[in-house]
Amino acid sequence: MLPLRLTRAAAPVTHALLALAALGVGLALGRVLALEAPRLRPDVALRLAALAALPLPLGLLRLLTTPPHAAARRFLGEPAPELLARSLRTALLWLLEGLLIPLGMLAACRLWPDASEDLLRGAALTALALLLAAGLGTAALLLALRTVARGPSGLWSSLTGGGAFGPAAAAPLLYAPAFALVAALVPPALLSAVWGAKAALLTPQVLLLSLLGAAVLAFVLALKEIEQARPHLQEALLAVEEAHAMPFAQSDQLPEPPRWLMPGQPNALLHLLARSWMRDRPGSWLTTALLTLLAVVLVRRPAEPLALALVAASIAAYSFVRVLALERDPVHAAAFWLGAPPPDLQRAVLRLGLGLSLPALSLLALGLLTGSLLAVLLGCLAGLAIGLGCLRLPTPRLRSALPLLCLCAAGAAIALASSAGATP
Amino acid sequence: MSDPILCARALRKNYGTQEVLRGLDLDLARGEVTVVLGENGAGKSTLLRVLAGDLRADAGSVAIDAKSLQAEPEAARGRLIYVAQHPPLAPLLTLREHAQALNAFRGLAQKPQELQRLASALRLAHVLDKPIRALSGGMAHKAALVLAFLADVPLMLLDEPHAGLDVRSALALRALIVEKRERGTALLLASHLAEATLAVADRALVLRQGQVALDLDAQALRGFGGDARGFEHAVLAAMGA
Repeated sequence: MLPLRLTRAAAPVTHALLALAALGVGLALGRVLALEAPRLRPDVALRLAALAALPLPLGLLRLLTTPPHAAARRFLGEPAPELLARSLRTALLWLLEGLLIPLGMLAACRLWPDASEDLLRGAALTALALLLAAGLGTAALLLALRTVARGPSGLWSSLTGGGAFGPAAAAPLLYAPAFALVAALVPPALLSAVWGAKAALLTPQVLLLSLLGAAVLAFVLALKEIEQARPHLQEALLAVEEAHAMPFAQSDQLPEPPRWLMPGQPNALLHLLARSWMRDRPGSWLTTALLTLLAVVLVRRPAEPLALALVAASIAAYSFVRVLALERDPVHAAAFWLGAPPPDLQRAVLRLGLGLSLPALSLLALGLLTGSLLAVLLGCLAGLAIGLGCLRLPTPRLRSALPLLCLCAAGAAIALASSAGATP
Repeated sequence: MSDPILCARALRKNYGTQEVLRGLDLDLARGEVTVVLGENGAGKSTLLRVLAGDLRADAGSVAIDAKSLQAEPEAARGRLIYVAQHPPLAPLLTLREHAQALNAFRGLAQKPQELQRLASALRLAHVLDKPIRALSGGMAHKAALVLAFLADVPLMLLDEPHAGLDVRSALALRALIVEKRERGTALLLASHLAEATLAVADRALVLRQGQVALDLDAQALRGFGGDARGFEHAVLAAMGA
């Protein structure tokens, strides 16, 4: 049967951007590790490995439980296992792109040759965490889908406490990625402990064997779970779809936007946009804050002007793209239909976009304390220019990928800009 | 026609090389219900979208209550409400929240009792505080109709308002249309239903190849004496079937 192609998105371009991003992140992490005191490196490497592995189970959650174009593909007659197999192929691509992070860390050996042994160990821990997070994440999510299809199980109920958060039927899906990540970090944590106690024991051979063992374990578990879940997938995907279609349906209290988001006079239009946005993405301002915190931590003291400018640029571009996302939100069309004047609508979108980016912008102020004002200002201007450039990109996916690319460029620049003066 | 609420002249609209509206003229009187009929793809929805300012005409002019849609788009749009087949409601907001926003944006007083009355008429009172996403397709469509009837505008454009409605809701909708007409509102409906047309229409237009092929006034419609089959034959003949 010929594969169904239901999207015009430029997937190769997106994957190339992600690969580039992973390399940039790897270089930045390598820089962080190389500049750390040698006795602290095992702990730092473990934290970096956890950070690098975190997106995989979360991405898998989205990919496996709400596969792209699932309804259209089901309508056209594609069976659920084949639909999931397609998603798993995409997940494998993500994993391969993710493995460019440890490769980027290895590339940092050329910049900091004295730390190359520790960089090798750090890269191996990161690769181990990525392999296990992908394999265990897949297995845990398929197991959770099977549980959803077959009804509540004693094991999940005891682990999740009955799943009070979200639709009860879908509760296992919410916990599966977290369990997978914790399980994936156990072997790297053990190796990190060995490294901290007696570094000589952690030879390249030991690391290679651990990696191979982890890869085999992860894939065997995932394949076994795929086979077992196969008969239940259709029913599970329908249950998830139903849970997504009915958010807040049984709730008497619908979430309201936080007050800090709408300072000043009451504004019906702003309130409407904020209400819809916060119900759809309740953690969006928190994501911004966390991303920015990460950026500010990466800048470190004393911040290099080039690195600071690039971080500022990425935050500005991210904020701008968020405003674009607000414009694509269905509430935008609804407000226009209800009679909101277009100029007021534009102003409200801009104001809400700035409000949502406020945590990012205020945290950027922390960066100012350690660096140059001019660098931050120039960076912000560059970010806005990049954001404006986004408007001309052909697909929403590319528009979303651009801020990520900016962040990676920032990471790579931090590594490169500081390599000359770094003393390991 | 003196002082029409809507005056459209020489409207043209193409989708690529396909001509959908070909120099169409249309006047609508205040307090009159006009139904546009025609086969699928005849241009009914396109006509309504162009008249609502939702789609730009390639040529021609539209004036709503003497306000030009081209020269004063905001003033003209403020005098009408257009309900598409899939109205753009915000999925995570409730019907009550939509109603509050509609009144605020249009500078109207909040009318909770009127909202309750309209929602009860279309059997939506029990879901006033549920997000639109939690409603069925038919209920979401009725929610948009409630909002349209709540808006105090002199012109309503409804694209297939009976589609997906149960029998009781369809009857309630007819009553609401008649009530609006009696208050002086002009309504332009796109529909395929002969019986519903005969029940509420003061005028019926049949579109064919982007032009009005048949224009029946109130007297001509009364001439059918409620005979839906006879009316359907007349419409089919105008459509060239």
